[in-house]
Amino acid sequence: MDALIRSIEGEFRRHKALGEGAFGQVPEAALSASGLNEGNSLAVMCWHISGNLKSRFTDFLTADGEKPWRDRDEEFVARSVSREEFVAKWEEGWKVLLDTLGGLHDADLAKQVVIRGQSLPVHEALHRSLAHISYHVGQVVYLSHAIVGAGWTYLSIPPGGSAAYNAAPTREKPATRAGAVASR
Amino acid sequence: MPAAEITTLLTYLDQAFKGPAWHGPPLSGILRGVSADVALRVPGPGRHNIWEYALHAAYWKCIARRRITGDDSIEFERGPSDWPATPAVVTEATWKADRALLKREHDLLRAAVAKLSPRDLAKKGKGSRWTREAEIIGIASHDLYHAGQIGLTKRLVGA
Repeated sequence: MDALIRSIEGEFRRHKALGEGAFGQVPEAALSASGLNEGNSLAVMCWHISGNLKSRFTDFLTADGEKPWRDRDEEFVARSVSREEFVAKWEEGWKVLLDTLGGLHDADLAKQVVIRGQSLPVHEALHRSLAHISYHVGQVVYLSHAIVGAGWTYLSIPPGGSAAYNAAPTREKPATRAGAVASR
Repeated sequence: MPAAEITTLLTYLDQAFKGPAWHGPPLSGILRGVSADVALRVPGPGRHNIWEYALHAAYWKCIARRRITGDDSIEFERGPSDWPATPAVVTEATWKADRALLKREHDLLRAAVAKLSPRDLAKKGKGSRWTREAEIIGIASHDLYHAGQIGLTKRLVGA
């Protein structure tokens, strides 16, 4: 049985689709613009998410999740990127995660992995990562919505649409691609 | 004592809501210290305020509990659905009451999860396309997804 690992994978994929549904609406120039009150830009968030996933899930079961080649501080440096570079960086991190998850089974959940020298069970490492990604994807969606403004296409139930949605909950399957954005 | 699988899911739920969360503030933590005045500030046209996020999170914990238990009598005490309205009277007391509502819904949800048996987890919840396991993981992520947004809202409204 791989029910738990597939549930976790589904939730990761749902957040990937949410992020893509959000930054896909943002004009290219705004991907690199400073965030709210001079906060992180979408590009910085993307570099951080990708860098984190790539480091954590490369050789997930056998090497420390904080790789010596990762430069975390560099992820937070303001940068100007094209949409192509943005999407390539985003996919780079997610590919490492999803490839790794695809090879895991529920039987692996009790195995031990190491992050920054600290040993912890696989299920806890996955949960930590999902928590981290959920938090930042929420921010990606929020900042994208702020940038796009009135033209925003809602990724979940649009305002005033709950009754219609509840009658036909079409968005409840874990998304496997951008655009097929899952809801709750 | 719940089975190991259930205990793990309870840990997911609790870490997302009250911590300690490795990534940063959990949902209840990011609401801590927010006054009613700040909770009502809208960061921009068409955007949600922090009070609305709190009620939205409480609403979905309630719906997740209904799906997990299959108990159709469970209804969230405020409306409308999805994004319940802030109360007609907005004071520190009503804000405190709504944060207590959020905590109550969290506690009720975790109590419902604690009663599950591992063999229930792979079955779909009533009225849901999700398995109970996915529902529980999803609602924990939902707390953190919006915690990240509340953090940005606080920055925007000058909290």
